Amino acid sequence: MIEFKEVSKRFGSTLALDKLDANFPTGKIIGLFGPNGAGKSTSIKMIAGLNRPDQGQVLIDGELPRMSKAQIAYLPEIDHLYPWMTIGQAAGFTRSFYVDWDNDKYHELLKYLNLNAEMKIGKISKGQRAKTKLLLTVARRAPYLLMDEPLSGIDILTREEIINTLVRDYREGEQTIIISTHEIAEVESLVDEVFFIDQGKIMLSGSAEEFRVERGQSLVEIMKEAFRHVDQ
Amino acid sequence: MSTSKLKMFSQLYTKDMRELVPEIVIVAAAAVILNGLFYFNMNRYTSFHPAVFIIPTFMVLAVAAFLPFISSFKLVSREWSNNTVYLIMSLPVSGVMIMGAKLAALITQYIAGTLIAVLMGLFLAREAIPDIMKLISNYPDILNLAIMFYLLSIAALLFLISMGFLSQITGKLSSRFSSLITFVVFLLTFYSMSKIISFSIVKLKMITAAGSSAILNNSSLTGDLLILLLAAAVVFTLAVVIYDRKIEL
Repeated sequence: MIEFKEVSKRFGSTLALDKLDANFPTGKIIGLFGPNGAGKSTSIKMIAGLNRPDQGQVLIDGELPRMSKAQIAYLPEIDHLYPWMTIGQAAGFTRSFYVDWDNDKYHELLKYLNLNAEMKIGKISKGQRAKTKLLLTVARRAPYLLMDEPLSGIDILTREEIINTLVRDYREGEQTIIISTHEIAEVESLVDEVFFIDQGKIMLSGSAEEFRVERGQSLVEIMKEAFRHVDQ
Repeated sequence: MSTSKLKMFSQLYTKDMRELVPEIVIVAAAAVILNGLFYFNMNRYTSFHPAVFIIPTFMVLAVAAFLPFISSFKLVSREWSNNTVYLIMSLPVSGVMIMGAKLAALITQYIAGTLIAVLMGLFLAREAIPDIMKLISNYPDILNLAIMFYLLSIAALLFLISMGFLSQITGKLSSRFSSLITFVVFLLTFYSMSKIISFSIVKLKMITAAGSSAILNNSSLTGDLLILLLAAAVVFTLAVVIYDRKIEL
């Protein structure tokens, strides 16, 4: 389980997280939703150990994030792979650091995503780079998979491929996936639990299914309603 | 899938070496061009002192010695400018391994560059002064002294690179004025560490002078080497601690 205990984080004069309290349950697909600048990326980076709280604590199965990096597969929004590497070299690089790397899965996904190990990362399209990042993240059998805006700036067909890959390879009950996005409609059918975040605070959270049944609304409508109340 | 610290280090080292290939090629090209110029114009220099043939070697050695220091800034800053720092910082390894791999790659660059310079220089010297090997073998102490100075140069480079790392990592703590902070920290570290090193070396020389004069040269050089290595280790450790505890994205 991932716990945020009264976590605050400030960047200059901007308060990114404001005493955020949240428990992300294990073995589920969790949607971290909110508008731009809500604190989604900061939360994800904090779990990945790339940011540290000014106040409060983030715990992953009771341990600090920097002690749990081997348990986490992180997919950032930006292109973070070495452009001179081929996909195969990037896979070889990643494989050396993680015991949970699944080589069969890697080769299977490579084919499924229409990628080639010889492709140079710096020379492929944005969609292919997004798929490469996904490939290198999902080819691991990591207990925690963090995805920061995985669909941002990606065409509709590639988005579908990304979502299908996630659904196809998700190990329910074993793996926890946290997807941060402001494009809720795309992942609505995927998520089990949702956390609506704004101005560094959780505005609303709960089971996606319960929300839909109880309120008779889509998650997009629920978010709009929740944030409209905040604005008023 | 098995992983080991050695495998991880080797991956990081190989990656950093790949980034340094252009600089090694520059040194090799400079060595070939400069020595080639002297080699093909050998007749013109026959009236000069034979030592003139050392000039290209010294020129290439200067480039080979200076480039790793410049590259140390490139290796660190590129991780940020290419966003690959997101990948590096999410890896389950500590700053010692990440910075250590960079340091090892830069020292390899230095060794490769200086080896190329010396080998090319020896080739040219053999052509220009056929008895050069005989001359060198008449003075066995020269070889020992050269080795000691080479080790000293490696220690000095370790120290300079570590200062480059420290100043850059400190600069990355702030999103604004990062370059200015890097520059100021480098100057301050250089100034204070130079003072400490000079003081230690003077003290050491006073101690060795009190002993036998026969061992003065060797022991004082070894002392200088140890002092430089210690200074490099202190600065490197400081850089790693800041990287591990303070750097955020």
